[in-house]
Amino acid sequence: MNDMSTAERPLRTQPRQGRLLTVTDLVKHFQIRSRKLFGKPKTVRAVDGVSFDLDWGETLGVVGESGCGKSTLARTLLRLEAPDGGQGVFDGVDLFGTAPDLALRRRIQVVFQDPFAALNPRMTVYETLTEPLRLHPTILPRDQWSRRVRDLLGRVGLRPEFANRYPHEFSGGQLQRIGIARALVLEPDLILLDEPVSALDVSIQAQVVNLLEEVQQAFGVAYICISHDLSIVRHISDRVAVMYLGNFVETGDCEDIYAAPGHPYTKALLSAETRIATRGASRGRILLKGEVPSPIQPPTGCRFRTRCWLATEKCREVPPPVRNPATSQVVRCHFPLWESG
Amino acid sequence: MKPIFELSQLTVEFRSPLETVTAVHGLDLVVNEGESFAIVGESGSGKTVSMMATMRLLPTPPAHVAAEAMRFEGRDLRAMDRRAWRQLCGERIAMVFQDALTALNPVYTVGWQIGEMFRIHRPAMSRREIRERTIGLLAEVGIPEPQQRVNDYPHQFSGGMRQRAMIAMAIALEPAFLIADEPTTALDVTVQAQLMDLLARLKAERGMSMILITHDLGLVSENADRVAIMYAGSVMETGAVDDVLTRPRHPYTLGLLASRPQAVRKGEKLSSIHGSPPNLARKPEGCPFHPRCQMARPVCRTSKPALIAEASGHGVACHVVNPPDTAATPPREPARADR
Repeated sequence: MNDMSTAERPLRTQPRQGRLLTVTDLVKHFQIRSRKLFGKPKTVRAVDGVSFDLDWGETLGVVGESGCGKSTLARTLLRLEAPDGGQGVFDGVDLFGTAPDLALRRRIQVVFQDPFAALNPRMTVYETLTEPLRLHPTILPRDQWSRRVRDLLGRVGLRPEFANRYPHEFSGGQLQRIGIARALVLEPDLILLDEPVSALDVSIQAQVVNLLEEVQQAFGVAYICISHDLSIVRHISDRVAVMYLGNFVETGDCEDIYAAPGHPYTKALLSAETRIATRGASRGRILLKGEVPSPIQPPTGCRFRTRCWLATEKCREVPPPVRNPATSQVVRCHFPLWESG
Repeated sequence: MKPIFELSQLTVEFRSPLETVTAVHGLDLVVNEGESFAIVGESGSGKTVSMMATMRLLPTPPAHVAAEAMRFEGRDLRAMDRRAWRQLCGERIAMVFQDALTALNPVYTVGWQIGEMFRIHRPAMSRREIRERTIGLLAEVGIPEPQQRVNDYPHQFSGGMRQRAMIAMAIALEPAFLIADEPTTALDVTVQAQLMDLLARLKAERGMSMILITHDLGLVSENADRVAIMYAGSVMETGAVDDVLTRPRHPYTLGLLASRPQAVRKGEKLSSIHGSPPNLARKPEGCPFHPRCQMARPVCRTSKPALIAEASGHGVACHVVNPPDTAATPPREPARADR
């Protein structure tokens, strides 16, 4: 592998310590028109009170099923959507200030799910990788652009002469490498990874996961990795947040959550993951009833209660409190699993 | 065990004036009664195309399909005329497609589309009977409130419910053989678990045989009896699931298993297969996997390894595992595509 060999100098010097991002009670609702002419508009509660912290150089994995709001969370953090409530502080700066701050945009970048759709087919790799520099003209003098592009292509395991090619000349795995290089051009402090490998073939996924880890070590960048693939999240995350219907139902250190999930939903999600096991081995699989309810009218009380096998009347009436076991976990549940055993 | 479905030396080519793409190259396959057989491969490995060819769903031309044998319940599928095939299709063989939203017709209700199976194959049934059977099927595949839902259009169903409706359609006439092409790939893990549970239950209740096409080795481990690992149109390794997944021998299978995040401890690098799958119009000479294979030898570049099976049925197509001088038979040249 020639992943790291061609880049002769690290683009960043010293990784910093401490808190990078604090998000408190983030809310993003969407209004949709009613089907009836004079009906009341309805509200989709896509992100409904999400709080978390992220340290410099740390990876937070966000797992959840489709429709749970994880992509809306990413888009809101990127200021692609304006939040309807909550605070965000990014390295001491208000993330959701009145005007999107150009300097903040530079520091938070994104890698999208589908590399075929994420790159402009009419731009060469060189144009794609220098567009961020054009939009942030103070970052790097123009005479150093081609050197930066060469460096970055080497970093992500591509040959420097690929700079003059168009996206259709590449495979999916190569395109995702270019997408990662584009996210790195401006030396961000945080990269949002929205399902970074789920569009790729199995044999290619491992290559890209390895690359993401190498990039993190070299650049000291923090990741928020959104995925439905629990095994990938387990592999690359320091901490994990489990999202259900707009809320984080459980957060905590990766090892703690995977070893002993505290929320029933986490346990069901982990048990549904397919794994290679000898026939007849007991799986302890939990089959949930039904599907995720609509975020237009989420269930009262605990949102998971309609599919939960532990739910009682209390869960219907009272929103679950935040509970802490002895470990790093934070769980929103009336009956966390460490109590029932 | 009695074979229900047999393929021998299936080859599928797509021809255009510029180039010929060989999507499937000499595929041998036997599925026994009551068995779940998984075909595993990445995109472009030929797993879907081989089944589409069997089901006569490929437009010919540009597709050209040839096989030495293609038998279902002892009958030769190649010799079967269109009429006889249409009768068999749905009645004895059914298929569940990957993307239920594209597979369902958006302008007809779900109930109408499931009922179509009865209208075509059971012309004696009355409309009331058809409606009742359709509602019964929706209930059987776990759709809540089937009496109301039968009148819904596909866009009113969630992804999991659409896939359930597809399964209802496939099992409507109680087929003996079901081909499920990535039935849960577009779905969430909790819904995937529900659907695989449903398929396993239906299979057990009705004694169905099944081909499961997937790229998820975990799904194979949990749901199949035997498996074939395909790469660039050829089977690389085949056998009982426990043999192939716990005692893999082909470098490609080894690579796939090792690249799963579960295979390493956290913080360790994943072992990946370098490079990417070949362009099928310009497939490498010899073993199709040799450009990515770390164990490749000179012979791998020149001659295509034959699939050589042990007595247990565990077969591997690899010169490294089965050195050429010990190979009993040279690889057979697949039949020329002519159909």
